[in-house]
Amino acid sequence: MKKNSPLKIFCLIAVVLIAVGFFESSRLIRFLPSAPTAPADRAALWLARKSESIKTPIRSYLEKPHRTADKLEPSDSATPSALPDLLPLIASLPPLPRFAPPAPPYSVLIVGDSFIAERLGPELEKTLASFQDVSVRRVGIYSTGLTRPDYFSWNEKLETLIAENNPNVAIVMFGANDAQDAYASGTLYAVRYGTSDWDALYEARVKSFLSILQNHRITTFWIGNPMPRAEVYKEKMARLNRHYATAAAASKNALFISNWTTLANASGTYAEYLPDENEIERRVRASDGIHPTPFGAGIMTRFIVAELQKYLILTLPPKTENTPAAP
Amino acid sequence: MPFPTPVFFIFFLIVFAGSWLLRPWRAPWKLFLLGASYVFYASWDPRFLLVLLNATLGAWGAGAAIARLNGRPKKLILALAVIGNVGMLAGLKYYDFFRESLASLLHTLGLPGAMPTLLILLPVGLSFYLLRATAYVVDIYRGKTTAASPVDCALYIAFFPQLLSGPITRPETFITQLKSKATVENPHEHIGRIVQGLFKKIVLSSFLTIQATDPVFGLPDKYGAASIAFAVLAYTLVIYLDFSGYSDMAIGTAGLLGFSSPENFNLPYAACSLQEFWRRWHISFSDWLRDYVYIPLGGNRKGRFRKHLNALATMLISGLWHGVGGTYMLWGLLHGVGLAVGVGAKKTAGAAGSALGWCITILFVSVTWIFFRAESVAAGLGLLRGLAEFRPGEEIITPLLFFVAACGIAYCAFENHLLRLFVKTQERLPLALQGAVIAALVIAIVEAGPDIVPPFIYFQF
Repeated sequence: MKKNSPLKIFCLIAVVLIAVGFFESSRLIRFLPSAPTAPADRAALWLARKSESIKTPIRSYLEKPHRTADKLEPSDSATPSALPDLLPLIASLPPLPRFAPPAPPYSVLIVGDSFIAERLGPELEKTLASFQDVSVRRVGIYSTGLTRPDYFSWNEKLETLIAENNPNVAIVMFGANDAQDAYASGTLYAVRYGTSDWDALYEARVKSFLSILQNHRITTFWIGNPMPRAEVYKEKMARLNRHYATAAAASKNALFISNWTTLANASGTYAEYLPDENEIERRVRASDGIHPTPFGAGIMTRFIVAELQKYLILTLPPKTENTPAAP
Repeated sequence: MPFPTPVFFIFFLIVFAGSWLLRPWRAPWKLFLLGASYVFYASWDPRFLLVLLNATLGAWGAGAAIARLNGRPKKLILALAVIGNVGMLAGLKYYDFFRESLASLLHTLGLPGAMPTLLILLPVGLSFYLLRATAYVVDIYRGKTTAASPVDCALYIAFFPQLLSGPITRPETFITQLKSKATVENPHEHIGRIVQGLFKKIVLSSFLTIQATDPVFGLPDKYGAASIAFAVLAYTLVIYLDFSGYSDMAIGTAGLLGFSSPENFNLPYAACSLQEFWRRWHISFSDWLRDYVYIPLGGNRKGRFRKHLNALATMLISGLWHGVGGTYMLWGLLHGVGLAVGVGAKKTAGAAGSALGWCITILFVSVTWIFFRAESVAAGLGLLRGLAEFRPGEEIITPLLFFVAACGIAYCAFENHLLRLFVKTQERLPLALQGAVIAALVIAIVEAGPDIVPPFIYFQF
């Protein structure tokens, strides 16, 4: 083989890809779509799964057996479960009598995905922190959710955050990345999105997340996802919102706040633009049709804070007047 | 299918094999590369292809017409092509900004009327490939290049390693390479550039972005002066590591396909004056601005005042090209004024003069980055106020963050030496060990990086 021949370089790149793919197979599986359509995605997933199938018996020989608590059988059914009660459930459910928010001072923990990482999250933090006796800790992590704890475990992160911050109020928002196939722990096969198995697994994960907050007696406000632009996402987001509403209703001290129509127009349908106080139409959605623009984040924040004020005592600090210095 | 993803590298391996297999047959080889580039671009959104095809057809058609015409019609076609490209950029990127600004102005004046709202999707890489399309037409007009075949022209505009964020190759340089007999020169250097880019992006830039710049720039009022100062320093590093990391990967992947690309960075933070900084920062874009904006405006040929005015206009256009809104315009304006007054220009000779120039330049560049990154001009001014008032507030600096920032600075200073060391080592090793070294480096980078790598900063432009 000639020095610097393309074949030699091809072999070099291929060997590196295979080695990295083998070593980082679990990370690869987390990053890739579980039902890929593109050939490159398929090849990467095939390589990662092959690597995992080689590594798993070695790992299980070396380590303790995997937990099997939430292990589910693989489902062949790909038929989406019927969603007849979708729309009624995405509205806020009235709080149960056992919903008893704490008195101030409030230590608020805001957690979630990209909605919390940028625009809405910082705006909400800033607004809440401006109230008297309110301290805020916000942790938003891009591309995360509750479907893939194998990728990022929010339950573990939540335990750490609670230990560090000792909050008495939590604001939670997930879902933008969750409408995808899930992996039950200790298994390599996917629980297909849209099946009843998936619904059961996802709702169990939402409840498990809420139970951590409940165990620490933290009043939780679960913010629903706003209506997205694309029809395909609309169905997905509504399904997720239904799970949050159901799980919050079943939990002690948790309340679901529907955010579905916060950025909708007067007729309740998806809006790209909404008027500001001067009646100038301003963009409220980013180009993806899911996330808000800074202006949209402002509208969402005002809505969420107004909802919180129904249950929490949020007062602005008294204005400090510039008094002349004593002589 | 952005660069630092496993899917991109699988895609690249397929394209690499196909490209070198087809290389002896020029037409199928070019069609293959063009098809691969379109597949790469369509992986974001197939609708974006329509915009890319429109830009390509416009450039090729105008180029062919200019090559055949003379006199005023030739000038007219050039003007139409440039206006078409600027119009496409303005329409897709700036329409909402214009609409909202006009509506606000009309409201302030108490006048009725407004432009309609439109649902516009901004294609990734648009600002970059329109620069290439414009360069192609203008260079034919100037006689610097000849009109290319539709495939050559399309490949110049859409070549996937350079499609999204450059480097902005000149038409003549690229199209000549399509005709030459290519070999893989310096493969270890190209592979080293890719690994280097991965390290800069996945480890250094991502860590500093997540831990320092995003929190402080996201909520400026919350943090104290020390944190703000650290975040500004971190962003100065982040924007270099992020963009030069991308450029390293683009140059490396293009190089492995047998294409040489212009360098985009040359130790920009070592510059001792603002003028020198712009010769070292985003070089292919700075050169584009010089040749297609500054010189047509008159450059430095029409007296001192016009020279400064032209520099100011060029930097304002540079700010606008990056994005709409006050922050980018202010950033461009500050750099334009900085160039006019000669920030960091050596007044005294010797080491002392250079050191002073370097201090002033790096301070000026870092502070102006505040407006490049801030959510709004008010937020940027808030950060500056926080710094000036030594405001107390939450602190973010940890020993680990400090260590990573120090590593970033050291890496910026010694990256060329490290690359040379990598190349020399690889050249001495047998093939199997070469693979083992690269795989070990990539695994170490992936392990050291965060689970979620933020997108490249320059993708938004």
